[in-house]
Amino acid sequence: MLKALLYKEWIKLRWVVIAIAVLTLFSLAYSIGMINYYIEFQGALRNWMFVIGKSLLLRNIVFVKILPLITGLAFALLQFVPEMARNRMRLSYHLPISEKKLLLSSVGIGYMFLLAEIIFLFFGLWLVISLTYPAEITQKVLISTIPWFLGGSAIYFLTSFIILEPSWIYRIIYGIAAYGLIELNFHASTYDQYQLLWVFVLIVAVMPFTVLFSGHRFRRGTK
Amino acid sequence: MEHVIECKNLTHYYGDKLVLNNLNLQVERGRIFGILGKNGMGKTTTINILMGFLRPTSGKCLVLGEESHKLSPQTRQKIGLLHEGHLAYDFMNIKQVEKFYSQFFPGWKANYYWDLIGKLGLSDNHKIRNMSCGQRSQVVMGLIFAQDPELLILDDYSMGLDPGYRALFIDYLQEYVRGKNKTVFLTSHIIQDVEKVIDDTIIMGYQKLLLHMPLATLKESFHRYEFRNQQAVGVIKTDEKNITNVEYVNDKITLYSFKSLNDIKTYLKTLQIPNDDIVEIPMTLEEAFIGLTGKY
Repeated sequence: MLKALLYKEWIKLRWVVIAIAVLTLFSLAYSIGMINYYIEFQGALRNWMFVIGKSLLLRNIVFVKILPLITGLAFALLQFVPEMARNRMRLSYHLPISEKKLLLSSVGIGYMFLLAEIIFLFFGLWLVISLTYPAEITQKVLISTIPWFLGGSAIYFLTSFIILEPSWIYRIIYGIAAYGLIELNFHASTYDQYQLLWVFVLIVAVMPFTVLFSGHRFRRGTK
Repeated sequence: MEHVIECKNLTHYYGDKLVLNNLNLQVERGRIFGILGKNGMGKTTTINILMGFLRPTSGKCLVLGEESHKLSPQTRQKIGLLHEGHLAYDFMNIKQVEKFYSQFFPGWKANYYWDLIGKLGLSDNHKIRNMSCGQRSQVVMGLIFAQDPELLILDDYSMGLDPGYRALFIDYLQEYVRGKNKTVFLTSHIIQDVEKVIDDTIIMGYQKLLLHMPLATLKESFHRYEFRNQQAVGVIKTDEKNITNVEYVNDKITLYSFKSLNDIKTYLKTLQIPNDDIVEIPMTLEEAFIGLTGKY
């Protein structure tokens, strides 16, 4: 049954999975170009000062801020909007599988694809930065990007949760709360600013379970 | 007798609005039931409760022995649902949807699906979203039949279908259930089609069940009488005992009743209404339905 659910989600997501992977490759290539351009333009010493003092690398890889967000949002929309359109979710709820297993498997499969994209981007980024800069800098930059990846994960889980919610008023309220929560991940403008990263990790870790709440409300016929 | 569906004192409110009031209903195995009712009579609410998508405010609705809003996966496997508007995963194509569903049902009978699909003359890669309503109905019916369920709940199966597809649907349904002890619970607004296929009829009125009986019994026992009398216009009223419904058009009076012609003549005599020209007019199920529920 899990294989069948994986098949269904793959049909919905396959083109965007490929498109995001291609976009990631382009973005990484763009970063290589930007890094080299700044080194050429500023000179190695000046560039080094900017990289250390002004966190220049975070500006060179600004797409890492956006890409996980776009991916998380796109995956959630593509997975659950077709299910909710014309109450099509009823088809899924009638499948001989428990409601919890159905919902958690659906977000689990979607997240698996999202995680694959995130890992691809993360390792690509590691490769791009480590080609030019020492390990210490690479490590600082990668740690600084973790909240952005967490933001991508959060937007995926919370968008899924909101789409599955049957009431528009609740959707709006949840949407505002979700925006506030996700936005917290994007405040840092210098390296390694997040001292409480583990708190974000814990919050994101419980997010998959929120779909059980909105999904159950839909099942119960809440208006 | 074993009941496949059993509703006991089913009551449902939407906010303050009472939609179903103490509905009691039993559906026996191996029969085809047609649930009829005018718009807003609680038909969709009843179907939604039966399908497990609505929890009743009070009362119980058992489907294959389990409460409808918490059916186990094993029981859901035995129920084929056709959702209003022939709902399907329209992002899939003909082949993909069959591959997807077949993995959930151990007794999957793919030949039922491919037989119906063969009639469409479409390629296996044809997306469901690009199909007409009639074509989609074939896909959905094929999937339900391939599932080989014990109970089929078909919500407004005729919605959006032209006469050809409606006839095809009825033909295949009749052929599918023949001799298999399947139970079918269906709704439709096209009563002349329903009449061809159902064994039992359930007619819903405002917040309650108006009637539940075999179609043959209804046809035998429910009558329409007509006569002309200007003085009697507005005099005859509906009552529980004799007159189920009465219509006046100029001096033409139409009575609907479960009483025989002689009983009605006697009743009219007690009201001192001359009725020498009263005659019984045979009815179709649709006319009987209108007689029971009224035109307005």
